[in-house]
Amino acid sequence: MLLVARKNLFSERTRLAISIGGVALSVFLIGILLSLYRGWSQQVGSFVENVPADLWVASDGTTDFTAAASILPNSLGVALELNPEVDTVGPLIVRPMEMSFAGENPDDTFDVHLVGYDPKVGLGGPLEVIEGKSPPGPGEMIIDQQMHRRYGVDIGDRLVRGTKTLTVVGYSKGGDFVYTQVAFVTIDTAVDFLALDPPSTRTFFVITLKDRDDRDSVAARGEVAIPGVEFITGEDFADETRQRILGQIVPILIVVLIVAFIVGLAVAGLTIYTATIEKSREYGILKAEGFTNPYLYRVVFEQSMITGFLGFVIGAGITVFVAPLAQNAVPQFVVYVKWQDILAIAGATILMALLAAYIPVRRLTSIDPVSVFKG
Amino acid sequence: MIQSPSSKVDEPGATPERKMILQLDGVSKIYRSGEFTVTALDDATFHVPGGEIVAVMGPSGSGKTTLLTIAGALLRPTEGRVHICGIDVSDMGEAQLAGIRRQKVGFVYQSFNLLEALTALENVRIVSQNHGHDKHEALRRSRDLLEMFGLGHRLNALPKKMSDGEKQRVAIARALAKDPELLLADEPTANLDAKRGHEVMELLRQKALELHKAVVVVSHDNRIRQFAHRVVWLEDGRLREDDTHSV
Repeated sequence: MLLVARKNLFSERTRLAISIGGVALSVFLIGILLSLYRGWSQQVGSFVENVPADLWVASDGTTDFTAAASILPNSLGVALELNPEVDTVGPLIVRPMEMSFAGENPDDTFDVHLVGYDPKVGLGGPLEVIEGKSPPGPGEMIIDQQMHRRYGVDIGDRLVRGTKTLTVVGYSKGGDFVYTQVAFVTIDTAVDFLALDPPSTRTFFVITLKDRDDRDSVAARGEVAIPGVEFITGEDFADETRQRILGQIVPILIVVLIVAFIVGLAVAGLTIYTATIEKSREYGILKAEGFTNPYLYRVVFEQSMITGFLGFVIGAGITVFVAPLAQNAVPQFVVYVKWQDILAIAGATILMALLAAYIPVRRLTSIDPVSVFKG
Repeated sequence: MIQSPSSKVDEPGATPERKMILQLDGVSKIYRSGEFTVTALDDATFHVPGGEIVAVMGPSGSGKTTLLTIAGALLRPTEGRVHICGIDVSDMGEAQLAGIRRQKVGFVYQSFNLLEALTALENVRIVSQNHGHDKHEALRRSRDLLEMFGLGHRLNALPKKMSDGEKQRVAIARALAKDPELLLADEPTANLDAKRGHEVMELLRQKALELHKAVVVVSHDNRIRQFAHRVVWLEDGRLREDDTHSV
């Protein structure tokens, strides 16, 4: 590193602190937003992805798991079981709803994604029960642990919707969709609780195959054989669910990311530019002494790079440190820090530093070394 | 034409066959701004060999700084030729001129022009390194020069902690750090009191002679005359020899 670059930069500590602070803030904002996006993305798709099914069966036009408008007859399950390539079939009744604590203000509601499943098959039920009873009995439900943490729903509590009540008997994990959480009941409880008419209506069927490698061909043949039904892999269904929930957020996220980048660029650019203008006489002296323009460019670029590097280290450090704390404090603040994102932010910081140096470097070329003989 | 009268140079170290370091032949500098033209330097011819100290004197606005910057490869003449160490620099591009300044010319400025964030040693060292000395050689050379100028105890002092006299001595050490054949000083005593000014000029003269440098000192301070082998007058851009001066 050039002596002049280092000495000039560190001789103005307040300005350096402002500059590094601006870059760090920008890196932190970008980091935390990306982590939040990753966290949500992982969270909202993980339940669908982790259900150990080879294919999801839904009525044609169904977009995703959370906005489930799929309506299928129970007889379809029987038909699927007759397929020799199919190993197991699990029926699911899925319904988003608001619930409240029994005996408390009915207006204090929270979102619940009720999933009715067949405990004998298990497919589509709780991924892992961490506390309490499983499977749930008639009139009982297993809630996601995030619902317990977020709304204080405990085992033994009774949740109500309309005139119907369910008793919480256990906690499961892996069913958090950030804005809502899944709660599991048996198929019979779901039929009764939702007063399904006709009671044979199902939302999805989840199936496992004898040979997982056959799933594309089974899906293709199934869609031809059963009109109005689609067969979707767990990954695709999870992606569509993610897209449904996060698709609206991404454009906003991109705008905020750009704003964060511009904030960092503006602070770093302005401080580097001010420093260059303030030292323009000294750059003139260096020119007079025979230092070339590329040398002076290097001085400014190195200053910008050091600022960017320190800003990145601090900003990324704060992101990694603050993210889990924020998640503990605010349950909806689900973050996942990926090293690939940190690398991408490092790249963005380098770009920020290069751009921040661009205008000051242009200014350097116009400095006339003759000016140092004046005054 | 004003050439070096060798008979006037009578110092130890002076040789009869001296290499011509600076040659300005018929040099003019005209500044144009719209319809207006200002002739800062008018047909100046001026030669300085190694080992000679020349004082260029004249009132403010007479063209002294223009002469110095043309002689120092900072400014191209409008007309005429400029040779530094036999190299014609009149039509060189910016990068080539920077190379000439880096290798051949040392400057001493009126306002010292030290880099504020760098210590005395670092101010000298970066110029030495830029000349081509490696880091260790530049460090050794810079330390030796500063010790030679009585600043061995101020190596790590920042300019803001130094007196004006010390700053100017650092500036002279810096000018010598690249071992230039031509030393150009612009009003080197203007910001110093009489005693410090005398000390600095004596030092400059002594080192220039010891190291056999060609030195041009631009000033309107009459006290400079006593340190010069020759005095040249500049008025309204025109040079003339001061015949009254003798060493």
